[in-house]
Amino acid sequence: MSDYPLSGLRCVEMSERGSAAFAGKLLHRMGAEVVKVEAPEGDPLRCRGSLRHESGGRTTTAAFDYFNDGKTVEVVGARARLAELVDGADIFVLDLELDRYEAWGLSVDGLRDLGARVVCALTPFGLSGPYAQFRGPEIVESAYGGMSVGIGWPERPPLRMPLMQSAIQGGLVASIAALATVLEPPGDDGPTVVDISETDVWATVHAGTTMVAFLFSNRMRRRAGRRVLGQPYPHQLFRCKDGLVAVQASERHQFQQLVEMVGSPEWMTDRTYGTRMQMNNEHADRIDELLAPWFMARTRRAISEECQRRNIPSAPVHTIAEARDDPALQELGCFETYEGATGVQVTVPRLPLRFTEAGLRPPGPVPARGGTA
Amino acid sequence: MRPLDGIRVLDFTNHAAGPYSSLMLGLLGAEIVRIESRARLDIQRRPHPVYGRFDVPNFDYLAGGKKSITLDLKTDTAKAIVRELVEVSDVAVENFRPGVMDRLGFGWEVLHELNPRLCMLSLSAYGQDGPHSGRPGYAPVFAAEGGLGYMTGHADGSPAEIRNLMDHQAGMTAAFVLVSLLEERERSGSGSYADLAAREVAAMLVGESILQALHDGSAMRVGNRHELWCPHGVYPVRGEDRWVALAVRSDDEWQRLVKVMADPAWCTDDLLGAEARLARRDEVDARVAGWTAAQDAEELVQELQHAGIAADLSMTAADIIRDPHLRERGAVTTLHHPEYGERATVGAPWRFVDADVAYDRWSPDLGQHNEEIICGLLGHSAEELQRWMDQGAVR
Repeated sequence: MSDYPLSGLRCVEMSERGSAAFAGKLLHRMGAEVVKVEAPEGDPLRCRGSLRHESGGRTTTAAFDYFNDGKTVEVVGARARLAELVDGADIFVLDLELDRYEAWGLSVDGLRDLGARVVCALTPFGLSGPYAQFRGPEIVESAYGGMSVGIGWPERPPLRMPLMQSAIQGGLVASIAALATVLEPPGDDGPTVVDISETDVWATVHAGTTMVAFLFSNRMRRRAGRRVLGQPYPHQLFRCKDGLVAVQASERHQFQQLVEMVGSPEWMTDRTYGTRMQMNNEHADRIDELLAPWFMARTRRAISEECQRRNIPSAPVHTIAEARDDPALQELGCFETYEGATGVQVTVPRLPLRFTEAGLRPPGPVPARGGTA
Repeated sequence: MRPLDGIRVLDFTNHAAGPYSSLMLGLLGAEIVRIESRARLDIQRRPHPVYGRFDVPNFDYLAGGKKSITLDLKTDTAKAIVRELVEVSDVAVENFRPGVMDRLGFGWEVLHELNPRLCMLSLSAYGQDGPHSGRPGYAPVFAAEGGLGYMTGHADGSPAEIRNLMDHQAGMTAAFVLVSLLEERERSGSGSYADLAAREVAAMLVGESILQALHDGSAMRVGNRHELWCPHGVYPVRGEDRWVALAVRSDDEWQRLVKVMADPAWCTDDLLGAEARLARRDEVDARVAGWTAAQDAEELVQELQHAGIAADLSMTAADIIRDPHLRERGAVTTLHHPEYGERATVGAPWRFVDADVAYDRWSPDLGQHNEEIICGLLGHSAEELQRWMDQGAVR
């Protein structure tokens, strides 16, 4: 048995927008040798991302520290050195916007000639198509990919997904496609280029179910704040004594349990507010008001534990600090600590992977700018 | 030729997360054999309470290109068929509650002994062991509990419900693990097992916030705003509930936006510099929104993008279906449905240059491949299959 699942694979990562860096993290922690290529000015995520922090005169971001532990950095100032690194690699993953290719001496048509077995090119809108040249940070990708339109309140603008979800899922898709490709014995056709548009990922992976529902029933996804329309009541977040609690009682037996839990009021079952679909789509605010005394008298934890006891899916809406301290995660041993790019110890969730045989590579320090931790 | 041609996956999954993992492997060329039960139908096959359909859209999407056999796993004959399938498969994937596969007689140790090259993944809510392992889990629960729900919303409002992001994220993560196990098998010659907890996938999605919360406790919702860029938001355009997302990431882009807006008087020099704009963010956002509200969405996007400013429409399902870019790339595609004729559907999230690695078949009918798999693949006779069907083992 080899040390790690991907021991022996050699990968080169070039990231300016996060998604290639997340792919690099997945591949590295699974055992691949990952060389992170940076320009002399460094990966922009070192200082341009959200949640920036500083220590000892060095700057980093939470996302940079989270995506880059243990990698080897090569600072590359010339195309020749980049070509040398990529030549013979199993995987080359990059996430430059198309107008940045020239600065690195790259071209879309030349990706196959770089000498890697598979090149995964992540871009906002893809390498081809009418909008390939469009620019797109996460907020634009989430909107164009059909995700934002259903998140938020009807009277306010659609919301982007928080943090770097485009980068995370783009990195996952790139890693899957790259690993599947290197499983094949090298063929006569030469290297494979996989073109991954992060907006395609939103549109197919996450908006896909919404779209097929629209095709069958002409139903459009609508923003409804704390609840989900088009589902039987309740599928939402309830206000309670100490915050919000998520409750989803879509199935009939779950709803029966919910009715019993809140004291079996007649109006919940005698169709005063119509079917459960009508309860949700037309009368939910009124029903929430009627249920408010019950919910407001109880804490998130008490409600979700009672729901769990009755097999109703429910959970407290945790703040980040509460999510970090969640006993379920603590018991799973879900966190790991390593040295961030500023030299400060940082703690993050470990990758959610457990194996019977080979394990994950342990975390290592995040490389400082220029390649030394 | 597709990358996973020749790989066979035994698919014991139902609901959404598990089927999404095998869908991804199928999109890459693997043969996916769904083990189904008529007595306990996959919830995705059941008529939807709203749409009231006999044919369920989510199932059509999640089971695209897969094969279906129907077995009563309580019978010895069905168990024997599964064991035979294990011997000729590369991957098994399941998302029952922990312990169910063992009770059925298909735990990892048993399957590994039957086929040492088999790779297997169990996807569950809280993992196979531990005090929470028996708890049920649904996507909204993970989002709420994991902190992603808390981070989704306007800075001045409460968290928003985010629907089904979690299921497909867990499925994608499972697909990544499975191709990693296959890669490892290439070198070691032996299959192995992975245990994936959706609750931990939820934690992975907020890793940077957890890091920041531990560092200085500052991880908070920011809505559509960005800590360093302004304007950065989703702004109204002409039409009912029509919006454009727009991000200005530098002074250069700001000056280009000012030009596109025809140099309005409010865009004075003291708005140069991101810090200056961030300090007056409410005013800048309101001014930009006032300007965009009178614009046609599609013309505005074209004009902004051609000026080098990141912007695009907040797309609805109807927009996505007719979008020329997504169509040309195959992210939206048209398939022939046996009952409904030509129908649009979503494609694969990747595009292999010079290779056809895409979504190309509808979902199977229940038990559609019983004969192909049991007789064709496993070599049993038509008489045996008929007998097992009469006995209810294959049904």
